[in-house]
Amino acid sequence: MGKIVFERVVKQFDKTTIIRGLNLAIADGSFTVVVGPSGCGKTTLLRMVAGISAVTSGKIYIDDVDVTNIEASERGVAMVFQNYALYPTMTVRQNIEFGLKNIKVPKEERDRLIAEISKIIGLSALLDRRPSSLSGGQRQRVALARAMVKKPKVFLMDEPLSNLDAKLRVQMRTELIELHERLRTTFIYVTHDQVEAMSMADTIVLMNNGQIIQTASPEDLYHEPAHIFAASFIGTPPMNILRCEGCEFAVGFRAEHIHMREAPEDAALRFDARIITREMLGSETNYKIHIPYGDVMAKNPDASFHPGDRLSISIPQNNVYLFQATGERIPFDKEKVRNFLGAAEKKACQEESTGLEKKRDEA
Amino acid sequence: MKKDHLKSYLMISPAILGICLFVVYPMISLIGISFTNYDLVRGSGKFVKLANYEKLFSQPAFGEILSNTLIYTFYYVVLTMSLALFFAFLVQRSNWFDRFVQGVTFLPHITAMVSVSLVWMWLMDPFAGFLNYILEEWFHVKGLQWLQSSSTAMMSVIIINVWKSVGYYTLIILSALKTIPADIYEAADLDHSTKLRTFFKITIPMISPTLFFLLVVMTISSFNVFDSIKVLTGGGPVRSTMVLVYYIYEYAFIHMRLGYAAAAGTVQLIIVSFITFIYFKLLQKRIYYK
Amino acid sequence: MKTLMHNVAGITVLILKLVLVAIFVFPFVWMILTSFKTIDETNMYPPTLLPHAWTTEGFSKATGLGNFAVYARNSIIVTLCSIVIQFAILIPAAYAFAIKEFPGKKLLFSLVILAFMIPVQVTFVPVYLLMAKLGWLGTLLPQFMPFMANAFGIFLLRQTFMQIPDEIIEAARLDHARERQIITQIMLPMARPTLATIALFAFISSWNSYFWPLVMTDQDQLRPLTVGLAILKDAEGTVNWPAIMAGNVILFLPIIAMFLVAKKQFLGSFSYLGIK
Repeated sequence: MGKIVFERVVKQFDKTTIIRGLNLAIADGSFTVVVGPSGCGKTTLLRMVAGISAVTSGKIYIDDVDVTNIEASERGVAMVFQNYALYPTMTVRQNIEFGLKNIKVPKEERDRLIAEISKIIGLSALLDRRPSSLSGGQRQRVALARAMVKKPKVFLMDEPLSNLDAKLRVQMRTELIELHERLRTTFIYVTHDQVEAMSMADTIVLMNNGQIIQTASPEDLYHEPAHIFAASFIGTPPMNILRCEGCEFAVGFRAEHIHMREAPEDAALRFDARIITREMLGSETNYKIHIPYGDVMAKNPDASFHPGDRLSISIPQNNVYLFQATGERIPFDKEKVRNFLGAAEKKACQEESTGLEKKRDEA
Repeated sequence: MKKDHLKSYLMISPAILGICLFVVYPMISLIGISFTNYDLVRGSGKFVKLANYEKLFSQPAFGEILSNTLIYTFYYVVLTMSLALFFAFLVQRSNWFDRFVQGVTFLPHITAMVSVSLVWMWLMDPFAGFLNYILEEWFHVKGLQWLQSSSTAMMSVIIINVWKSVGYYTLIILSALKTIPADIYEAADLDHSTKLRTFFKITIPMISPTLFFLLVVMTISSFNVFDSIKVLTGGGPVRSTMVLVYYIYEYAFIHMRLGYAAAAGTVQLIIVSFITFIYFKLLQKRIYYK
Repeated sequence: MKTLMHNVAGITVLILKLVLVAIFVFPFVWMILTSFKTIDETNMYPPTLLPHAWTTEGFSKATGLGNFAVYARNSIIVTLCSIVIQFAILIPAAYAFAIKEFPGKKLLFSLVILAFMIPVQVTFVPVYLLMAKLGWLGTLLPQFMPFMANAFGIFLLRQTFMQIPDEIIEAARLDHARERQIITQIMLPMARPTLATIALFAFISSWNSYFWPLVMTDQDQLRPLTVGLAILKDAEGTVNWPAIMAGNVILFLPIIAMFLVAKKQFLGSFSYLGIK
């Protein structure tokens, strides 16, 4: 129940192709988050599963049934919209009931279902209120209840938390995760916020420009990004990427893997550096550091560095990521790294003002 | 897909049918009839080509009527627009008194033109009417003949029509004024602008699209003045208040000469279409500049 | 010094506003007061303001006039039929133009705009002939059928429908709602203010209309109140002002009643028109 497959799905709108030949399988019962920058096509994807956006070509399967041409209401899906889309002239109860009434569920059954849902979601006191008298968080719950009461195979959520204030957002995040644990129904959740994606998903589908960049668990996406885009989209702060014009490769490493005192034995990269800014966040400190190849971000429990300090930073080999200039990830190779550093040096990718020399690893 | 289209067509078909039957067809038919000498008594007519138009344009009376219509339009539009702006400026606040005044200016608009005409006819009675009483007793000015004299009848009709419609336009301008953000006034205030200057240099330019639209609406509606004239003067005295629509009405239903009336009607159609056309053209330009 | 000027300005404005109120209210007051006077009193000079002897002569004369009841009945029937038919036609049309996609939509909508711009004074002659041909001249039909397509209403309601967020309609579709349910249970309730505005304007327009029924009716039995009243003026030798004013007061009653009840609606409806 609730397995989704996209087969060569294309979406065109007014002669522009938004999604090209997309293939994707979403496992039953998963909490899949589709994440990407604005305009990447994630909401379009969601709407195509729902059936409210037509597919230009290709097929969509729900539980191995081809639903491409089936009405939205016949697909057994429920959706929570970004702006909740509650019926403004109806009470909360009527909002939740509407769908049930339309498929002729008898009154006692409806009342029972509504009572059940209200208890789970915490709406029992609000049933006779109108949406206009509810807060954002309450409206969100009504939208959720309306979706849940349908007992769908798939829950679709279009950035449901983006209109809530930060505190509420964090609270709702955990509530949604708990809900998923409890229901074990497939959740497909769309967001542009990579933090949300990382914290909630068991599978992340990263999209950009109508294409899927990578589908993986949060851990895999974080530790083994398949593309520069994935590496720099996921993570706070995003991965530091060193690149330059005309170079064949690019090199990346994460902020928390920068060693600021002693160089580890397996250091693959070493740079002379200078601290530019310092943000002390409590348990760790973010530094913006200048190296000959540009500015990078470092994250460290050590808060003792200050702007202007000169130091030497190094990154262990295990934490160095190597990419083609076109973006694909390739396995670590010392030669290629050396190649990159050399080329970058020559192509005036360095800053003149510091007059530092680059040191290269000879190990 | 096809089935859904069919449903849509079904949903709009009564409206479209109504429009075709009662707007489009009559327009075409009007032009067609104008080329005949259709007579309401006989109930038939023959094709006479441009005879009606020749007759129309050779009538000195027709020239008189056109100029009457234009005079009416000119004064009506100028008076209504300036008064509406003035009233909007005067009562633009949201306090209860201003809103009461707003409501009051709107009363004439929802009243039947027939009623308005009859009341004013009574007020304008040269002998026992209230207006002349005020003029003679309060201002010591000789009373006017108002609707009874060919030199004052047109002005009287204009005054009555302006009185009836100015409130409506005032309210539209007021609602356009509401769309101007408050900070603009605050900025003008800080710039030491007087209320008057703010109104002319800032407010009016900002609502100019609405004003432009109203200008066109006023012009077109002024071409269609009929009710007041029928009740008040019947086109007189001495045809001084004879305007285009009344002329058409007279020839169609009193003289029964439909063909001729249709020719006059076609002239009116052309004028109205022309104005509308100019409006849309200018509107395009504006949108382009915006 | 500035405050003094300020006060003078303030007082001038106040006086202006009061004059304004007087100019607009006075004719109505006059109308009502005259309706309670005797004919002789109305022919007196100087004209009196308050009636010397309050009488309902005017009202009995106006209502006693042969066909007054008929005129009133006609006005009521025509106006009601007008509103009912217009709504039956404009609601689906506005919905289709707002929400649905179909070939020729733009062209067909421009037809609606056209209808909006063409005044009845252009179409009356051929429509009269059409009514004759259809054999409708002996009925009340010509007074409301030609207005069955309320272009203003289609325009306004379409705009309101277009402002309803797509998501709500999509949510309703996911809730297994059929199109008709979406319209009646979700969209129309949301459009209540607009519907009230359209009804108000339709009522006023039909109730107060004079030119059109004048043209379309030959028989006295078919005439509405407005036409009847105008005839009243020419009825006798000397003009019976109290009767005429009484008739006008009666004509005005439903309008003023609605205005007072729905004042907010009336004055609020201008926000639609202001944005053009």
